[in-house]
Amino acid sequence: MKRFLIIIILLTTTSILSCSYQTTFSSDNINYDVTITEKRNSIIIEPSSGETSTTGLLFYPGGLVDNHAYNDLLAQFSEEAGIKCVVVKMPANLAVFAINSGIKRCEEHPDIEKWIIAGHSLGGAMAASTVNKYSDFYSGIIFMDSYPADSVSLKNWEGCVLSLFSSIEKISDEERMNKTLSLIPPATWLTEDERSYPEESSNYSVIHCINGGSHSYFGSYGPQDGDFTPTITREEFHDEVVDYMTEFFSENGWE
Amino acid sequence: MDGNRAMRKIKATIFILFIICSSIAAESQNKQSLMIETGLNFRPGLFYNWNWEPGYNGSAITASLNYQNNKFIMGGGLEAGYSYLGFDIFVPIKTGFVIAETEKIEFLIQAVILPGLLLTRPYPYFMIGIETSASLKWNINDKISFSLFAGPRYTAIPVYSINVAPENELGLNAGVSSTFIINQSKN
Repeated sequence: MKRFLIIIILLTTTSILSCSYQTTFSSDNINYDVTITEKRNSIIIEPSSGETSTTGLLFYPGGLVDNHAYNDLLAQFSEEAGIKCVVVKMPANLAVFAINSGIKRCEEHPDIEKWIIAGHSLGGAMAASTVNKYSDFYSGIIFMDSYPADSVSLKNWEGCVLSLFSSIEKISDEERMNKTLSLIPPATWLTEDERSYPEESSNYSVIHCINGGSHSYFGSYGPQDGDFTPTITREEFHDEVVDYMTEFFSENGWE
Repeated sequence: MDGNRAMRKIKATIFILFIICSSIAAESQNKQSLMIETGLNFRPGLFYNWNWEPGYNGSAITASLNYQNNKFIMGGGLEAGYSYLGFDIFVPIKTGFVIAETEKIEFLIQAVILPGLLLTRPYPYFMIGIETSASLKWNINDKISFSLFAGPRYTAIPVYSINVAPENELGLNAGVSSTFIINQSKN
């Protein structure tokens, strides 16, 4: 009996420590002209009307965040850019358990010829790992408050990188930032005043830091433990993220 | 059907099952055993939101305390696992019946009700599942046995389906378990 109780206590404790963040997203309250298709291991968000691009966006959610939490952001991006977005549902909401599952999800969309991968937090780190493994498959990567794991270098990768940070605080750790810069292609910082892309058409990075956001603002959830206090609204934050994502696609001719 | 009515029906079903099993157990008093069962479950999915979409849907580890009286078994415990929605905990309440047995092998069928929680913060979502399974049990010795089981399982997360997106699953639950007898008496 004692053994039984120990097992039960261990199971309960482990499970409770692994709670995912709920999303505030509701499929009934989408304000964008998009179609959302729910599948067991992915969520497909595509424009309901107009022409859809042959470039697609594959998205890896952050660790222990409900995979629907990014639907608002991606619905806005999908409508504005005319891009099909595929959110990869991760086992237990942890991308480390299915790092390369994105490839299988891409194969389910033969209408898409070129794939850009994006990831938030842990999802971004795992996206970098799969890009490192399938470097010819992906043409670009978007990091959201994220960077490659130390063992993964995209320095010489032929693709293009957009890195978005949610607040000044996120880039204030100089050592971490230098490490990140050493793992991605040569970087140019973009600001509202200075927003010119490099002349290269491949092997470059552009980085932008949003003023006053917070880590959980990339999704519709939170606040997350350790979040900085935001000074802008989530809607303003999403507008800026979508603006930079759309520009990144446009600059690379992925429309 | 609204949430309260569904909950009342679930509670009533659990209560009726408990009464039936207790009555059956009380009637026959030849061989009684108290057992701890631990197992590993795999959850291949078949229908997702009522659409045919076969695919893997997670795994779980289980621990339960079972009581067997001759051919009747009842028990309850904990199942901790994960799916594409995160980690979850079920509290399986089960009843079963041995339909064939030899000295070493038992073949039994079980019905399980699974109230549970999808572990999210700031608060969890209530989940409910029902399952039937067939199990082949190999008695290694007087104290330990080993089982293989499989059967259909339906799970739904009612409030999540309303608040976020539809979420129900009809699939299989299959796995292996080992049983340790901690107390046995024969009248």
